Amino acid sequence: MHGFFKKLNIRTAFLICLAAGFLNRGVFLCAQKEPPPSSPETLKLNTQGRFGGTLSYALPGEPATFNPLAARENRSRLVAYLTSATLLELDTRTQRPLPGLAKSWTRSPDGKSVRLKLRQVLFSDGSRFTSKDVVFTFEKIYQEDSRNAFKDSLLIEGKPVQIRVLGPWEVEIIFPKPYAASEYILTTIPILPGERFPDSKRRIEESWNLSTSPDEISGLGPFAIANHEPGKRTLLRRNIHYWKTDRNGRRLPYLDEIRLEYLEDRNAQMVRFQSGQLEIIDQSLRPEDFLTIKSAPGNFRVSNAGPSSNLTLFWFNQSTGTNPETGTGYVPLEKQKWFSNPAFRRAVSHAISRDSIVQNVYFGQARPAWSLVPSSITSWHTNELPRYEFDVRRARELLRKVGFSWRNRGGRERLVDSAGKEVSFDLVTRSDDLMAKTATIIQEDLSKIGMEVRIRQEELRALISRVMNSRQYDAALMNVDIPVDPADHVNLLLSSAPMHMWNPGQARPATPWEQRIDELMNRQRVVLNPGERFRLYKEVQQVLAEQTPVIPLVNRDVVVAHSPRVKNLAVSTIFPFALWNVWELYLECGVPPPK
Amino acid sequence: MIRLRAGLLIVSLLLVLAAAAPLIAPYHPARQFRDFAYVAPVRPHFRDRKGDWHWRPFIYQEELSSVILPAARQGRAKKFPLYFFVRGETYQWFGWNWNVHLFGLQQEGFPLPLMGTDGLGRDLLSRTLYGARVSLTIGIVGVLLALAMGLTLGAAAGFWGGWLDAVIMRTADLFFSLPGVFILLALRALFPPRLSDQSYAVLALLLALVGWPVVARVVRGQVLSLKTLEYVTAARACGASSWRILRIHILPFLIGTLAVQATVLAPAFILGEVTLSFLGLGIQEPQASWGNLLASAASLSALTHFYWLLYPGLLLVATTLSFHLLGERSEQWQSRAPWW
Amino acid sequence: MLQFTLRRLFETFLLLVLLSLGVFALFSLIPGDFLSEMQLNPSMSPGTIDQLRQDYGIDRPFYVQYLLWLKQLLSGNFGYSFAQQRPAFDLIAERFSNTLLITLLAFAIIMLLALPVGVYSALRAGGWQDHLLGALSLFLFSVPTVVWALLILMAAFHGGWFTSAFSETAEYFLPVVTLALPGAALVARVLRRQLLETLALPFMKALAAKGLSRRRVLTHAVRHALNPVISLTGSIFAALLSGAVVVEKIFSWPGIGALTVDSIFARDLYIVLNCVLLVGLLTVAANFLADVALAWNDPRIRY
Repeated sequence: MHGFFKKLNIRTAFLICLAAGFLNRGVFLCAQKEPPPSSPETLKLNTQGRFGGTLSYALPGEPATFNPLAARENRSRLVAYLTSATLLELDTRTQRPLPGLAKSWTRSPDGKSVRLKLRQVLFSDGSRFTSKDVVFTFEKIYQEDSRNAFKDSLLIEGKPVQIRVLGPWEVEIIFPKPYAASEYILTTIPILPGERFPDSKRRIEESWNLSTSPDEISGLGPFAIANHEPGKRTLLRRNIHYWKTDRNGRRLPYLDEIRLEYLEDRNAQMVRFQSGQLEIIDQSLRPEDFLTIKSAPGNFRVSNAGPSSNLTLFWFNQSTGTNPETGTGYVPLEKQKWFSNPAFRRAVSHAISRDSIVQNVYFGQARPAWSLVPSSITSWHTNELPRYEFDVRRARELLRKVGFSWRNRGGRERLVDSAGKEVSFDLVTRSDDLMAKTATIIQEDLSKIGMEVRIRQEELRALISRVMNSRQYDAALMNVDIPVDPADHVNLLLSSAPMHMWNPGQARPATPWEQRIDELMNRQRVVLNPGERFRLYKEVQQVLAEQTPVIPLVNRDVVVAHSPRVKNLAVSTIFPFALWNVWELYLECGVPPPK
Repeated sequence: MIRLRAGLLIVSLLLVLAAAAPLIAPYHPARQFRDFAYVAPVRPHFRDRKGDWHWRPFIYQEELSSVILPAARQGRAKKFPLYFFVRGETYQWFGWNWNVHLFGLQQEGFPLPLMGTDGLGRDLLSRTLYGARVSLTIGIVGVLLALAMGLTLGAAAGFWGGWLDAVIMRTADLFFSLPGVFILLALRALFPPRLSDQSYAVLALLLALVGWPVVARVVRGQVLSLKTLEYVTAARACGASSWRILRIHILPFLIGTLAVQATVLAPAFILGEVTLSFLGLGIQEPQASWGNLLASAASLSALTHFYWLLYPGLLLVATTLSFHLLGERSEQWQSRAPWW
Repeated sequence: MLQFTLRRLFETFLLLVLLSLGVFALFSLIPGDFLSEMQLNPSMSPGTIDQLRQDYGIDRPFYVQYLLWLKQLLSGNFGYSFAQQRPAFDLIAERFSNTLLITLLAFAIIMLLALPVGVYSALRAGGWQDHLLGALSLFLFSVPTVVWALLILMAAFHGGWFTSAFSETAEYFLPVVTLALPGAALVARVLRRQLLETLALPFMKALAAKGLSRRRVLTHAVRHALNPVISLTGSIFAALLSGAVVVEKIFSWPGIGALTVDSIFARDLYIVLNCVLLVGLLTVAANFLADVALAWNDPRIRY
């Protein structure tokens, strides 16, 4: 009898443990926790949902840092997005600024300063947020040994911005020159806690790294880091002092926890998703995974949120200078003649079937692109551009007009230039499956107009170093993420810019149209009227489409797979995709996890 | 003995298939039928839907439907008969231009995907056959290189001994003390990716660089024991040069050892190419190798929906299996093969 | 024994010096560096990137970098991870236990599986059981690890192995099984062959004639046949570390194999360097332990 009870007890204990395990996962139980009281300074959003639960989200690897100022790649940027806040926020759909840590703001008529009224709110560790923290953050950004991207975008023609403290919750930010993107830039800068941030002698990039204990890290974002298991996952817990509330005045976020799972391999992600251990997969979904999720049992949802900010670009090396290492041109002279001919480039654009790339590579989850500004950036993209639709006859006609002809050699038709030289070139691209397929399609399409294309695949860093530094290539095919605001396109489009893909770092604009783009780009930096700025930028896009120095091929869509339990999902087509309104997301009760 | 013969049979069959790939393959491996992406393997029929028998095998047009693209609208029940020795694309074979293919369709613009097609509508059977050429070449050339290097260095180390022995064997130890994949990764990084057309020669060389210490160790051991034999001493007393002793009195006894090593290294090298391709460092598109064919199947979704992408893997397993059958009798050496 | 150990130590030291120099030299030959990727970020200026190159010292010739690293080493600093801005040692230490865990578990499974199977098939030599096991092990050994890993993942996917209670176990179990299968097949085959050869030796007859039980005779035979298996363990361990690279990538297991590959692609010099040194050291240690175990198992062997 005694033994029986002992057994029973063990069994009960086991069951209790098991139940506790489930509760922990927040799978079955959805107890509504009483949300912390709100204060008058919070931002009220028109949203509603249920409190509680843990959302699991996969990242393709560990972030590099927990320091929002040091975040350089998307994984770290996502953690920064979840744990810190900015003075203004960006409406990802319209690219207009929204109130953030600043309740309200006014831009001076001359465009040289922005005055911000700050919210009286608390950091996740309970300390007070004041204008001192804003000053501290800017000091850190400008610190001499600091090497962050913010510093570069905050140096307006080499000069720093000034901060004037007008009161404990009011600051003025003064730009050295009228600056069109002044509001946009404030949507990018995460505010650090001046008192808590380690103010040691070390460079700020070294502070708050992955070895730092989570309770030393605090911020103004919806979540705070609770626990980090190296290489495996990071647990983020709700920031009880977060400054947004729902329509009933209850403090957001709805979720108790977010678990970032570091799953590098996409197959591993799919397995976890299928078994209900991940609620959302967004950026890493491959075209074929779409099929799997649609056909998988378990009521998963897949949605196409529209075009992303990622473009597949193809361009010829139009470098005109000489290579300092060899003393000869970057590109052999005869090739330079082809590549610098806009008719040649237009013909190539006509000869590539974008529809094939969309269908065969992306299974329809992409669309042809005609502009260097992807259509997801709605406020700057224009449709009024010449389109080089797939038309082999037109391509041949264009080539014939500028002196190219065809001859037969070895049973194949070859394109020859006026000097009798056969057209053939190397195409460098990244060694990944999607790029390889795209390159193979280009190769086949261009062979129809007699061009011989040889594909060279390289791993990303070697490829970048080849295209940007040594410039030993003929043509390149790359995926490029286009930033939201034209202010950030300056480094791409100015002829002197290092990222001016087809011919970087020119001392003087090599062509009249590049000079025109330079003028337009410099003007749009200082023009304050958004309508005027759009007109200028539209002309930039038109010149680019006309001259086609770069041939935009396709624009990938953002495809998100998620469990039906996730509610309030409003996927943004620019970073951070499904999590952009993370404070509003909630998990529905009563929907059992899929088997 | 049966196993040995089976191994020999399969290996020679594969070599014949690889050599005759252009003739057997219905298409060039890079030929794209874009409207027929991911078509499942079709099986030729002898009996049609009405139950009538036909002498000439045929396929239905509707069987050529892509998994990812909208289905073709017309010609659903149209029959496409198969012909043998059909005229098709021109290819070079043994220095001649040919256009005869062992089998194919007469319809232009339609594939005959006996093994299915890939995402660009390329015929997987053709790619697998051409891929066999690449993979087997890598295996065989790699082995020959590794044997040559291992034999030279191992024999030198064993025969002359002293500091030469020390240097060579410590270098071999260096290679032994690092897992093969690590060395491959490091060495692969050394070669500029510009080599893509000749990249299989480079891969063979890389694999040989990883494999030579295996051979060198065994050869050195053998030479050490052979050189103490009396007839070698006798030859030396007769005034034979070191070179002559090595060539006449020692090398012939190493041939058996080398053959065994070859059967061990060849499958290891073929698998090595697969691993490199999987990590994105192997043979590059649009060229086909078993490694990159398998790498393109390396996703759950691909395997779930396009299971035929794994078929080249079957041929690969058959190859390694038959090499192992060949080398089975002297298994103790297998331990030392680079293994991934 | 002492002299043997000392010589081994010296050789290991030499090996590490060569390896580290090799890594530095290789890195200087590969095009692109850690900061190349930043050149794609339109909000980073080239000036900042050049400053970072100077900070990290990757603008210098490789031998200068090497000497500087050696100098740092004297103060116990193994180098810094460019990507994570913290000591490489910390990062590797976090991952190392994971790799050790799956390789040691795989090693244990290899031995637990291979020894009984090897002995069993030797005793049933020529029987259908032997043929079956032989064919199976040959097959296991002929399928590349990559394909194994995929097939196992596929089974997990369709079988829903990751659901609920099993998931934590599955997280280790799958990589370990993938790693262990080909190794187990190999060891079983070697043991079977060795045991058959041993059983044919005259001393077996002597033992049987002495009147020992079948069981005791077998014990003697197995101990004798184990020698080559033991001397194999060193290279099995090296092979497991090799296999771990692919397996860790496929199963997203945060170990040093995956870390090394990722760091090679990311050009994170000091991570690669320390990983390579660590793996080299591990293999040397495994070989050394194998030699010691051999001496223990076979009293005839002395160093």
